[in-house]
Amino acid sequence: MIYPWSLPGAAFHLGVDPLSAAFLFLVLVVGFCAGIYGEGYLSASSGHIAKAPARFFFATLVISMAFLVCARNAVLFLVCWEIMALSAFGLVSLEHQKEEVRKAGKLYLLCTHTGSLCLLTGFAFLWRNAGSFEFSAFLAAKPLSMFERASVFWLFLIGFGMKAGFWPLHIWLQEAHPAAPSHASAAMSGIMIEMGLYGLLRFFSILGPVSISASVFLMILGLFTAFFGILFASMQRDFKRLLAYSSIENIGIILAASGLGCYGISRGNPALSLLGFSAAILHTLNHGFFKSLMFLSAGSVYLATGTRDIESCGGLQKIMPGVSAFTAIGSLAICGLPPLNGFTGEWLLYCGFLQMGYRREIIFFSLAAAVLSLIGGLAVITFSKFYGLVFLGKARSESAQKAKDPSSLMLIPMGILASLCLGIGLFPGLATKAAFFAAADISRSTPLIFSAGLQKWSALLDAVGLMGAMVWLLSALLWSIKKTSLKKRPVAREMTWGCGFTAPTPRMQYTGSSYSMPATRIIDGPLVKKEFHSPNGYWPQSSSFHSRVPDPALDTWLPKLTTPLEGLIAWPKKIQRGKLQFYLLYAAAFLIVILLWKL
Amino acid sequence: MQELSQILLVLIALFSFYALGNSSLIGCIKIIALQGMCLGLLPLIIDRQGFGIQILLIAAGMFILKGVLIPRVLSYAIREVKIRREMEPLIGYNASLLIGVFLIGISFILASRLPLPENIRTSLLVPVSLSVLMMGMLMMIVRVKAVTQVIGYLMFENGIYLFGLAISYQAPWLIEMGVLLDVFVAVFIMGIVINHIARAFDSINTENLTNLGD
Repeated sequence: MIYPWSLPGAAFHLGVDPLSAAFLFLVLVVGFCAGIYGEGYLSASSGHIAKAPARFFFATLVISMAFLVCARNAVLFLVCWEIMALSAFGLVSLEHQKEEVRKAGKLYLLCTHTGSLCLLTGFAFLWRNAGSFEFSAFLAAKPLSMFERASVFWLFLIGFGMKAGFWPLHIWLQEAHPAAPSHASAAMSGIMIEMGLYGLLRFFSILGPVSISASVFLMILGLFTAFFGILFASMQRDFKRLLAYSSIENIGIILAASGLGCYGISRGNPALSLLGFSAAILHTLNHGFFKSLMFLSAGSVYLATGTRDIESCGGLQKIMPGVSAFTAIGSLAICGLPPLNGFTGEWLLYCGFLQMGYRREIIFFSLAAAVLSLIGGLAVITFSKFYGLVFLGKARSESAQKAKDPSSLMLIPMGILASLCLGIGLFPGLATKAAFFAAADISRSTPLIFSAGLQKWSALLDAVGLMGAMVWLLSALLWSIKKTSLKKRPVAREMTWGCGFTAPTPRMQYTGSSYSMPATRIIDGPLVKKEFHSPNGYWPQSSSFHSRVPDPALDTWLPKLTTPLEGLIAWPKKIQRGKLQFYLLYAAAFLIVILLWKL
Repeated sequence: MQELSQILLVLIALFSFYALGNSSLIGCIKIIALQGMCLGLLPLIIDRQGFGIQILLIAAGMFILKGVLIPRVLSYAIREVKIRREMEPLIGYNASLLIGVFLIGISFILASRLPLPENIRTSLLVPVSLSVLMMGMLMMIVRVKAVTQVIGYLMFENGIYLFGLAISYQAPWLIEMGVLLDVFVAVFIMGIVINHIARAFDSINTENLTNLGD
């Protein structure tokens, strides 16, 4: 569809190809579920959140993303991108009465505008080469020069990476997601940050192969982002922050998969690149579903208990059975465990890493697979901690005791997302097919390679799904055996982690920090800031211990970068006098100089 | 008539020059009135093929508005605020005269380079219009009193009018009248604003307005 548009170079040009279709499906499903949930959330939040702006910004966010993935004109793309970014800003700063929310909103706005600036410049490069803003013109134009290619690559990597949250551009993510209301963070984390990846994939397909070193760089960056994300996720106490860091992890995995795809192209191995890109797209779809599900559950828990602190929840499984069942599914999926959808994409990526036939790279790729499995392990720790502390055990605070399941308006969307997670896990064939079709264009594979790859991997994944079904059946069987065998015997109920004390209290339970300590002890030394005032003297007055995990990129390195920048800005600031006469002088001097120069 | 229009143009430039070097506000207003009157006469003289009713109307409008009405408003404004002289310009009178000379030089250079249509009415029209425009700008830049700013603005507008005269033969007179009306309203409002500034700050230095910001 093309409609003329009065902006120069712009046309309202929409089109759907498999790549757009995959993302459009994701946007619409997650947008629908999160939107319906949002209605329940808004009415349950009893006026803490202004309803009208929440609805408005949510609608513009979803609509702009739906148009974004279908845009075939760079100006339309950028306009949708900005609408998306600004509506997300509106959603982040909905509860602007709170200081931290305002801070997060400002940080987000700065980051997104930096990204947009890079995108604008990148598109300007493409436009200069093609002479038009149409994507088809970019494709048909003569190849870019070396320098232009490199600049466009970096500009798009930074521009899209800022939105997607690659390390170290992720700084806004863990601040903005907890600040937004939950259905908004579900939409932001489940779909908005993946728009960055969509943009990146779209431009891999337009720009053509990147160099081998660049694709290796993408893989390393992706794996590092993933490792960083999950490591920090495992140390968080605020569960929405935890989920935000976990989004960084998943984005990293997707980036690594895209890097593998690029590597396949530049190596002239379309089968590998097909595998890499489909792994990326499949994981994107899966991440969209399970991450939005997790944010919706987090929102339900937050509404029910009034806290986002893992350590003050607990025991919710008995009183919030619906939410806890869905969260269990989401947690399993997010860890990438087999019977659920999180596994399928990661499995394709593992296959891609381990399929390498080249001698020299085999060390690198086996290391990459090892890092990926380390990430998976940390994810299991993180989410067993999240689920275990929030839903199992005994309630650690009064508000957690009084929690109850939310209304069905909120439960049903979560159910839809959970059944999607389950469904893709059991029948991965359809989703795999979609991902392969979407990846076909980017990977530039011939129809022969494409159909061979599709057949091979969807058959294998179907087998995986079958095994998953068997796992479910087996566990159901075991559970029923346990149930029937315990029926006749008396069962003593003890407190979880009661450790055999006669009168255990909830405070004796495992805490989040202690749970993740063994895993993070090796690495936490420089990461965790501890403030310890030990009791001293004969009559110790006060003592305290406080530990927190600041984000190294945001809290440590960014200030070091901004201080010289401030010095740089101070000079032009002198021009800004605030007097009318000076501004007139500047305008006049500029005009005269331009006239003298150009005439 | 050619020589007469040249003389008028030189007069217009000299009036601007005079206003630059004059510290008396009343003097400036009188000068700007004279300049306005000259501008009003100019379309009558400059046209070789005689003049029609439209040009007469424009000329009359210019003459009355720029030569009589606007100076009236301005002198009313300064009578109200009881200020006679621009005491502390950012750049002194002699220095601004020197800069004015420099600007006239620049405008002659610019005019010689400017790609203009062939049959310009008189050779002096474009350089004079540019120099009046620049001197108006200079006046706005170097003076701090609100009244002198308005005078600078008027001078600037006169330059634009002259330039328009240079390039348009059949001046679309409705547009000209519209512009005149705009200028009159602007000056009217500024006259009132000057009064209010004077009442609020006890002076009409625009520097005080800076404090209104952050």
